[in-house]
Amino acid sequence: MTQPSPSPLFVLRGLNGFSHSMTFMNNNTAKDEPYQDMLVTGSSTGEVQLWNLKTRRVAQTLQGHDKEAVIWVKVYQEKNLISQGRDNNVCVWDFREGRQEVCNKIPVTSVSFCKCALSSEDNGSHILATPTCELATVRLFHLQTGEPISNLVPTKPESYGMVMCMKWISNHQLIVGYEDGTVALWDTKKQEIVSKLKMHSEPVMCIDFSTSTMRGVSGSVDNSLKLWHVDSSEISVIKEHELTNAGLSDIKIRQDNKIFATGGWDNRVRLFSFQKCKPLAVLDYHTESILSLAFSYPLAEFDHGQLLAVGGKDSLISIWSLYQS
Amino acid sequence: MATCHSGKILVRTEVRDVTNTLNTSTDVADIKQKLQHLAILLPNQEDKSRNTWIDEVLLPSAREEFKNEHYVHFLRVLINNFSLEWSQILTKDDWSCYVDVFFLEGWPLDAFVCLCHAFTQSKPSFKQDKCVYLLTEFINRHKFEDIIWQQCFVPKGHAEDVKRQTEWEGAVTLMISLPDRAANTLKKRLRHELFPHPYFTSLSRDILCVLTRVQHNLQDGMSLSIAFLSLLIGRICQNGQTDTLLDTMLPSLVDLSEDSLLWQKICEQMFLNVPDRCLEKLVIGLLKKTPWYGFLGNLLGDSVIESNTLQTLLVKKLLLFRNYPEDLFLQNIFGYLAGSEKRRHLLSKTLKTLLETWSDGSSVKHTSYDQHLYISKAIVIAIGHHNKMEITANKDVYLNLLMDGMKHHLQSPIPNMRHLGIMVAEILTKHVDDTGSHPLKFEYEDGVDTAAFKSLLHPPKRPSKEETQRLLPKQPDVIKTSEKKNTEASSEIKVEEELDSDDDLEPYDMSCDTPVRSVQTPVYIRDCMKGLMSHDKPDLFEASLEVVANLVSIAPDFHEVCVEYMRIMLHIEDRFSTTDFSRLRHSAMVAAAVRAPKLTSGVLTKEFYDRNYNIKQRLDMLEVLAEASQQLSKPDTGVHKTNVDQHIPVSRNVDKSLATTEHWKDIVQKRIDSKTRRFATGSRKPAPEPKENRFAEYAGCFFFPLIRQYDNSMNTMDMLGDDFLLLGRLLFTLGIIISSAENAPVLRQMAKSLLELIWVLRYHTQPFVRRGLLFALSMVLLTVPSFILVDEMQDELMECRHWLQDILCKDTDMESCKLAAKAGDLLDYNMQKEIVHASKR
Repeated sequence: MTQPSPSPLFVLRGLNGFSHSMTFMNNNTAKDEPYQDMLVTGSSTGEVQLWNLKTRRVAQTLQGHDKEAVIWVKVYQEKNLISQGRDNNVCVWDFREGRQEVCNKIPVTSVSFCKCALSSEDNGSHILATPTCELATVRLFHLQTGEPISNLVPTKPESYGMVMCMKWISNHQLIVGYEDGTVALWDTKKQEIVSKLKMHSEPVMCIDFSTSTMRGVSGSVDNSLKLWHVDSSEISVIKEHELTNAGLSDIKIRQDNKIFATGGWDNRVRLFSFQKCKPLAVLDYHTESILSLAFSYPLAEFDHGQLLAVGGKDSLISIWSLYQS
Repeated sequence: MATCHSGKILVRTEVRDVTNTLNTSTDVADIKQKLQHLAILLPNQEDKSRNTWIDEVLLPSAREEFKNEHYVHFLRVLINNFSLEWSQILTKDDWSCYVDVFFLEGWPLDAFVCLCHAFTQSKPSFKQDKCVYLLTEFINRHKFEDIIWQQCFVPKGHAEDVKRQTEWEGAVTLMISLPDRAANTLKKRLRHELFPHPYFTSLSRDILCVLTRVQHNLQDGMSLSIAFLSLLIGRICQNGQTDTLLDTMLPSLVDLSEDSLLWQKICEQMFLNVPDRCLEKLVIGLLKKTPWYGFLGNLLGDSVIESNTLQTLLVKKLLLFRNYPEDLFLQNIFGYLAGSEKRRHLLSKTLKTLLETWSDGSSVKHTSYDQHLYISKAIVIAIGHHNKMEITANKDVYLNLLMDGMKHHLQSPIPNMRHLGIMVAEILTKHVDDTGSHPLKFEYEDGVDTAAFKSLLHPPKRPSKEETQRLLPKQPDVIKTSEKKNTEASSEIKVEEELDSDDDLEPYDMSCDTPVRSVQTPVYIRDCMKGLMSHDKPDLFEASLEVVANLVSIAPDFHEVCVEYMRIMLHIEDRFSTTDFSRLRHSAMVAAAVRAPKLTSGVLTKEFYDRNYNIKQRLDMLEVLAEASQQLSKPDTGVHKTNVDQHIPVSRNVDKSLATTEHWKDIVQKRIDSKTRRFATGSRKPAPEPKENRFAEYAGCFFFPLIRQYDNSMNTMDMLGDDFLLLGRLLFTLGIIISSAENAPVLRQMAKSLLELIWVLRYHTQPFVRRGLLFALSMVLLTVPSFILVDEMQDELMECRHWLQDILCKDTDMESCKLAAKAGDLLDYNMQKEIVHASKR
């Protein structure tokens, strides 16, 4: 006897536009307020909003992208935030001591919806990988200085098409998904492709990777979902799964590597076991396609549960608490 | 001269003396001595010391004399003396030393003939047993080899001698019929050696040994005749033992004739001399068993040129009048014909005759599918053996014939026939027209059959040594060892199911994970109809089509739109390549016909005879009528119940109490089950609920308008002419409607009109229509109660009976024959039932 399909823990309403990207962070909105867990969303109207998970209200709204959609938000160094907008800027926000100001702006020349990727800290500096206007080209920047480091261009870039998504797996290894369905592993120091695999027949839409297991998942426009493994030099597919409906816009692995979630164009979020790619649940709540997903770190406020935030085109953000140990 | 004469007298007196002694004396020693005396005269008795009574010089002529004048007679005397007395006075060794010698060491043919005659005339007795023993010894000591070998020494020219020929025929008849005669006489006491299979195997081995001896002697320059051998082989085949003969001989012959010209010559002569009347069986056997056509060429040589019978067999009879399922058969024929320059001219000649038959309209219509498939295969194989020159020489003839035939094939109502025509045409045009300017190209589904068919174009490769060995096992006794290996093959393959942390992640119910659709599915029948008519919204069209069957059966106001709805459904086309379109459309129409039978059937039967439809649409109408009638007469109740039972997850929250109650019910049920003893293991379903046959009311509406106008011809439909496919389907449909109308009051009238229709069409030229007629008749016989049949339709049925017999005897269509046989059975059963019933009254 299976349990009936679950329902969300709660739903956040009142978003202007819809959220393209989400992340959880622990912060305070004013200098003397205590730190609390928040959900950061980048919305299509150009705002970065911080949601208080206790009151379920917007605690703070940041405007920095000229009302152009914010397609990527990311926390770094615990208290700082990066947002990428369609105004071709990546803003680095300084939140220290209650401040909320843009401390740095890095120009990105991309017109696509490809999200940037930020590497882990290495010698006190982060590297930002950004998409560019040129075909199949990734440009690397020093986050702190905003200076470009190098371009990653594969030979015969026209066969790869646009860069669709990126994910750092160490501070010198970057996974890039291209428009032709290829997933490539770059060595950013040598600026060469270590390994590549034509994973999908359609553009790669989303990638997530778990560095502890060295396994990644990727989704595409068609109904294939791939679970793959990266060893020192090679990408190899472990498991394939065929989805009922085609098209994934986001995919996220939970930090404990137990489950991962996919957000599809069919308005549904699907949960799978990360080990074997076993389908676990289909979250059929949203009425329009899913745009972004985020798994939280264990939140003290929710019995150290790891929440899943789902943002859809229907301007709702649903929060789910599933498979907590 | 004088010595010769005296030798004769000497032999004669001696034989008479011995004969007298045997007949009168009871003294063992005397008998032994006399027999030993005479044994000197047997051939190959070199023991001079025993010779006490005849001059050394006279011995050869004396032997000759004994053989020609006395031997047979003496053997008869001996056999007559086989009695219980002798069996008592002579020991086993005595028998073999003094008596058996005369049979086994003498002149084998005479001895064999004597023994056979004596044996068949005997009753169960010691004499019979002795004869059987001697005959089996004959077999075991391979005396047949000697018999056959001796017949090889006939001087040339003498082989045709009439007297000798009759003698041979007699001997061969005896040899062939021995197992049968023995079985008849001995019944269950038959010895193993005399069973047909071991007997003929041994005989075949003897033949093979003789052949080897012939080959050795020919090498030494001797002149030998193998006419007797051929006769024997032919007769063995005629007797139905071709398989046994060839199983033994063929592997060795194939091997030997491989690289020896002499052997090839011997084989050719042997097969050439086989009497014409026996040739067919032998040739069929050879064609079936030879694993590669090259071997056949070695064996038969160019005998097909020399022997008219063989030529007729290979080129006509076996190709045009017979059919064999094995491809090897045909490959052997054509491979053989193509094997040498001398025979090649036959190849194109044969292909021409084949194509003529293939393209003949009446042969397409009247031959069975198997036969036609066989001919088609033959054509493909034959063209595969053609070389370029032959093709260019005959190209026009072939193509003309092909085009003729194409027409008939494409017109055929039987899909297999059409497919066959298409394949042959494609292969032929492609192969003949090597410029590739106009190869015919058709659309059809490639299947395994098609690939196999196309592969026939390429002559088979010569099999390797091992393969030949496998196909033609040399030692039939040694096959058993290899079978043991297979048993180990299926060892345990353990699926390694690693203990995984995933298992504690229990999945939620995922039944909501269905494919999504971008349009809203219509809920009202009128919306749905609009959707079906939409030209530019594939999603809407698809969604409408999927729900429409369901909507029809629940829409409260369906009767208002029914007529319009049916028209729409008849006219919609698969514009957007919807998956499963035809099934959905069909079920949508059937649903309508079940919901509103009167209206729908009115529309369908009227439109069926209307002008502006194509055949496909009309076929659809028939199908809908047929299925609707079936559904109406047998409404299935099971489906809806399960729908109600299905668990619908309403609450989104995990309602634990709900889950536990379910558990509780399960547990109780389990306990009850465990304590309940059941004596039968049948299904525990309740008996099906009786349901009324809803079709009875509407049967007339379905049936009569449909049967009324079948002979109307319009320019879009002429059922009595070209559209016989439609007529056939109409008959099937009528049959189904009749069967659905079982027990309806109107059935009587329906049956009558249908019988009339059958009578009118009974000798239709198309097999498909005849099948329809037979099916309809069977349905009438099955559904109409027998008393009505006998009371009211007796005349019609008697006429039908004649017709059925006629079909059974003369029809070329196998399927028709089968149906006719079944219908005949039903008819007789009904008649008998009624007669028995009447007599009881």
